[in-house]
Amino acid sequence: MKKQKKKIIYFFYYVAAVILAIFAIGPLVWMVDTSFKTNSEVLSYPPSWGTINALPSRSLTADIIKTRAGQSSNPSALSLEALLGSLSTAQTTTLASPDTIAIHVLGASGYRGTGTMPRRGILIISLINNEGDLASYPTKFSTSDFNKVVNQISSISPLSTDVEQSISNLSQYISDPQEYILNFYDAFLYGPNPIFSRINFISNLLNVNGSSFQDQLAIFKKGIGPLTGIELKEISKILENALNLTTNSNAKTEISKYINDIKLYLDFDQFYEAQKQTKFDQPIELAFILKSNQLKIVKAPSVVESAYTSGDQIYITFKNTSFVWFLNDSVSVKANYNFWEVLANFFDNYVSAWNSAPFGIYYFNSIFVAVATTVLNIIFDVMMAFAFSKLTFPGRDKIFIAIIATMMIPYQVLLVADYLIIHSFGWINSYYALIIPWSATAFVIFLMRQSFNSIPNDLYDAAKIDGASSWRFLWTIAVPLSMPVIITGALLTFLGSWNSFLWVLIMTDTANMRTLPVGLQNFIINSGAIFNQLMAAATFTMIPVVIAFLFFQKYFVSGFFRSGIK
Amino acid sequence: MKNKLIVLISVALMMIFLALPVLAQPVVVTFWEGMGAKLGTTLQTITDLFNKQNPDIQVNLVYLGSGNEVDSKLLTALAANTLPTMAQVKGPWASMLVSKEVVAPLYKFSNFTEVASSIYPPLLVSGTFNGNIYTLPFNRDIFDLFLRPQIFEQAGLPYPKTMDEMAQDAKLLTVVQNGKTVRYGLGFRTTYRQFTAVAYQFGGSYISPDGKITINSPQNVAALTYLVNLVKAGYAYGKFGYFDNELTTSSVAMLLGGSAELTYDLSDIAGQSDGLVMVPIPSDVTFKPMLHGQNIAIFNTATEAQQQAAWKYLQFLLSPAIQLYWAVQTGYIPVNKQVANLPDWKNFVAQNQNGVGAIMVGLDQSADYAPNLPWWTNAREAIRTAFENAIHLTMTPQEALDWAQQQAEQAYASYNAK
Amino acid sequence: MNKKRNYIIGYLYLIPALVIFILFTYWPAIYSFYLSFFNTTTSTGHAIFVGLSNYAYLFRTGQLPYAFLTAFEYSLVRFIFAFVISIALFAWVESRGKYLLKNAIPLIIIPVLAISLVYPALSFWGGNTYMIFLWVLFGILSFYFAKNIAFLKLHMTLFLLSILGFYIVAFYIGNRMDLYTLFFDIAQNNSFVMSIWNTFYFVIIDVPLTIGISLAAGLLMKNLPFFKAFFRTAFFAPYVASIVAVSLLWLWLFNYHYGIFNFMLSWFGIPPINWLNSAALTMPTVAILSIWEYFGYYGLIFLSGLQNIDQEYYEAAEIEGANSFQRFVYITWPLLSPITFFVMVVSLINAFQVFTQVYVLYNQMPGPYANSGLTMVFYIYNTFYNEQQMGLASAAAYILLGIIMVLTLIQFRTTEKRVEYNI
Repeated sequence: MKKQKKKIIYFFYYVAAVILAIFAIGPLVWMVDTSFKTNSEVLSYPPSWGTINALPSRSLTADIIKTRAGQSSNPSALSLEALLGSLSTAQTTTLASPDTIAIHVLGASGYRGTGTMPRRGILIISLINNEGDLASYPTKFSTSDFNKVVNQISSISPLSTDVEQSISNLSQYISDPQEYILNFYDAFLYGPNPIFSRINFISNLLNVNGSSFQDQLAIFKKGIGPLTGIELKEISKILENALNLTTNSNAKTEISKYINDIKLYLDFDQFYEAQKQTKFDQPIELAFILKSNQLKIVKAPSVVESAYTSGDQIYITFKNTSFVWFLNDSVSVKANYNFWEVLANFFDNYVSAWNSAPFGIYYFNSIFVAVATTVLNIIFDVMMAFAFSKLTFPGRDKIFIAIIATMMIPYQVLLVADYLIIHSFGWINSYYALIIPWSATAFVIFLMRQSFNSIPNDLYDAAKIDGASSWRFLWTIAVPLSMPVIITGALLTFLGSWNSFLWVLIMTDTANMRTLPVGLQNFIINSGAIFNQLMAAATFTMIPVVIAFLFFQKYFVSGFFRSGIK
Repeated sequence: MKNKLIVLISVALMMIFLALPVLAQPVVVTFWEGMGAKLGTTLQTITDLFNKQNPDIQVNLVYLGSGNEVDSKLLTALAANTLPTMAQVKGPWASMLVSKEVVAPLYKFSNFTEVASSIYPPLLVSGTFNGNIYTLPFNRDIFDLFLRPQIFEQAGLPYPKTMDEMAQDAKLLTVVQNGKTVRYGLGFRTTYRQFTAVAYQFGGSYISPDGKITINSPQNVAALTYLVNLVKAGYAYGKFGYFDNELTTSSVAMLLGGSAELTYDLSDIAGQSDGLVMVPIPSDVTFKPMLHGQNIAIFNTATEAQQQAAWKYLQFLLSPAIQLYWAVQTGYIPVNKQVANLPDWKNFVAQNQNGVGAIMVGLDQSADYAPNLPWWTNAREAIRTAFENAIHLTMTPQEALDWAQQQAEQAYASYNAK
Repeated sequence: MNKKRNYIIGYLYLIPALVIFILFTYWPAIYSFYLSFFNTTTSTGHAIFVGLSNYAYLFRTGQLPYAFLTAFEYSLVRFIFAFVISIALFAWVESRGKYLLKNAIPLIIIPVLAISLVYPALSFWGGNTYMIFLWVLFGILSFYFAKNIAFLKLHMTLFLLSILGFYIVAFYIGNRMDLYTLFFDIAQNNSFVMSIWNTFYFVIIDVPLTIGISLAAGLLMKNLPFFKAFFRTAFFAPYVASIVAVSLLWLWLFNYHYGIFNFMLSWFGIPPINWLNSAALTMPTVAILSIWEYFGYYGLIFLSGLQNIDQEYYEAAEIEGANSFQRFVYITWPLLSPITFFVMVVSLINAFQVFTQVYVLYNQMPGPYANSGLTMVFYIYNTFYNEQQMGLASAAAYILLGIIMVLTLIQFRTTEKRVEYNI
């Protein structure tokens, strides 16, 4: 009966302990979890534990670059020397050849370190047409067909002024069909101010006077990207209806202009699509090459000649075909990784965090400074505590209280004066500045004094009669008897030194004198923090102290007990 | 006699040989900066190039954390007279350093007028004290409006150009589901800068041309009322903290912010097909975009040689090519006027799908976030508190700004009295 | 002679640590005390001796809506009213009505007078010197008669709570002028006064909760039969973590839209709490972070105290048939009191110096709005480094030091009788 009751009580104890433990280490577990995530996963909602970094494959969102401007290499991907080089010759950066397609991987390396496209593994790139099949390209391009369609569309009239302007601009490219096609789509759909951009085109239509189709058209204003072929056909139908109903002659000519605009585009688009006869027989598989911009072609259709990457773009060069044939297509990019690559992905944040600041030096400094501070602390604190506990001299207790009172001083105000003193010693930017000022701690002295108080005075008197000096008594009897307190004090001072930040920042000027908390600061920037790398760095900063605690925790607990606060 | 001569000559030779390595040693320039992460590596790359091109100068970067730590460090160094050769400083904050006469006036350096004239004039204001230029702009950005283009496309709305349009868009883009707002039209931080950025667009200012404090001017009150009304109506969301991912997860459609935040926000939407676009801040009366960011000061506590070397380095930093690289990599304004005409910059803007070009719009009409007054920190705190109180509806806009005006006048009076 | 030698040896032991304290703590403290009499931000650029005016500036009142004396009067009237009614209540409880007649004058007439006079005194007779005199008389009289109430002495805490309760009741009677409201009027215009309030608010939330939770943690660590080491490490882990990284982590746990806390609340259908963007919740939010960080550390101190208690007491109690609650109340709690006192002193000193948590949690700003996170150390830091008014900051630091010292001394005095503590 009684045992049963006890069991129930223990059950509640464990429930309470588990709740407290979750409260205590939950955030830390989350911290470690975050340290493995990619940028875009860090702030995902609802929060999830997993990360695609642990998966052997992932799909990346990507776009085909559809304009000429986007084709040339992006200045943000250039090195400083390359940029300076290109400036000194007063040339723009070289344009990619028209044979090359550029794919912008949206999940690629961002500004905050590595992004969601690690530069390893195999990329499987499929160009996909409107129907969801692999895309096609022409093998036999007939110039006469091209001339025919150009003639056909230039005979359409009347046209709205924008379109008229564009068509006359295009006439300069008649000798170069590829350029013509590229600039045609630039003008109508994909350029900076395209004719069929939703808001402009529909707004223009809505401004046409005395017609009754406004309500039907307004919905086309809402949508993503420029108007599609299907939508244009629908608009054209609505307009034709309106043309029949309208009596106003002014409106009639206006509407017919727009109908012709659409017809012109649709005619050309039909010609363009009809040219593509050969379908890709397989996706393009590319592999990253270490420390190189070139991509290795693993498996690809014969038209693919070579591939390279620059910044967040992938360039694929074709033989016998051109990128202009893929303007209306979309792209899907999938990345596959082998076991080692998954491992590398998984620890990516740790590697980038470690490399983003001289963490090796920081680590050494942190350990050296913390150990030295701790050792000095133990020597000085033990001496002082012993004097307060076992020796008699005038003003002993007053000095003790004065030492304890230092715990109450907010140290932020002492910084400037401390800096002045340390400067006058010539210690700025040296280990002395990090170690000496912290080599005596009031709280530890207090603990040790309590501990020494619990050693019977008789023992001390007996030792004195035996001829032992107070110094010898201290180190051979008192200190071994108070070992747990000393370990406790050591752990506390070690922790204090390990986590100190502002002090280190102000007292040192160079990276080789700085410690880990300063390194952590590197991931906090004006507009926020690089969470995943910060958490990775925080994790590897914390590990030594946690290990130290695991080793010494037994002493640590009995340390306070021995200090005999009673 | 002969012996003496030999001794003399050998002593002289020895001295020359001893002195040679000393002479050949490069001049060391220490630069205290607060550029973390990518900004830091970019600055390091630039500095490495400079050191390579100038073997007689060695510039050492000292990273000091990205918050107020640089200020703390400068203050302690000032007390101990251990200032570096040069440092990044906030314009108004530096007025104290200038009043202690430790900042080298830049007009004393050669080429100064040439360098100064290559920079957009409004950017020079925060470095000007008593008519002389003491600091030059370096990492400066401008307040813009960030928005999610797809949200606008889905709603069929063009990007706002005036404050009324922005209010209208905020209303149309707010989404309420089951009585809970899942998307606010507009987000802004309740900081001094955000209010100032909006107030400027209403024609507001804090100090009138004749030197009077005009915190509670009708324009400023109008700006505050505008924001408060949007919050009251539930179309806008104001909070003090960073908008970590509200914009990138589309729970606000528009966000006011500094242009340098673009690069940071972009990495959050990595992998999403919808982009992020930066447009110039809408304006009602006069388009006056607000600048913020930091300047660089050279201290005259350094030796003359060091100051000259620092000046050379500063010129290098502000040269068009370096400014181009800096701007492209970090999203800060290229402070040098020539950058806008470089083909690489044009190319960069043309390719950029995030409206990076907006950072160069209206630079000639722009104004700094704070007047260059040593006591302004107090007024600034008061304005921030007033802004917060108004947004949280504990005071009306007029009351709040009246209160801030009174606080600022007190701060001014106590500064002059002492 | 020998004695003198012993003295010298004693001092020799102190020298290394003492030199460090003198160089890096005492001398800087004296230096900043010296600075507190100077104005360092002047239009001329040189520091000027200003005497006590930095201290005066910190406590400047600005324009008051009513005089300090008036506020004091209203507070006094309310306090004496609450006092009189409470004493009457306690006397009535003790006598259970038996001696009511004997003490009719003090126990019935004075309270009735107090009740009938409180409204007029607080609304239209306010500012009248005779009224103050009358109320002081009331107070003295009731105090005189109440001296013999044994119940009151036994339940001092209850009595204080009762006074507070009646004070609050009285607050809603008559004009709402008061020292309390005056304080907030001053705080509105004087951020230092605001920072004092915020700091006290934080301490009042933080210290009792920290002690309660860490005591619970200590008891659990003591009584669990298995996995002791695991829980010990788990509870202590937050103390080890770097506060910079951890505060950022919490920033994000507290996020209104995406934070895990609000996500977990949504499981129970609780609407999201605006942790970080509400002035009222600023200090509780900071307190949660602070409790999280320190409870394991203090819990270990409690654990060591618990292990110090002789097991024989418990065995004896078990034979007597005491249940676990009784054992806690009659053995553990009294014997643990020195440890509790120790933790109280240390956590109080720590709580008064709260800064880093606010600094990181609120992006280097003093709270979301209305300076709700402006603690005293924050004020000192901000004045020192951002406003560059070192003299003013030093003066503020000395006021903080004074407050901590006074409170620690009060703690020592009040607990002296109950805690055997050799310092």
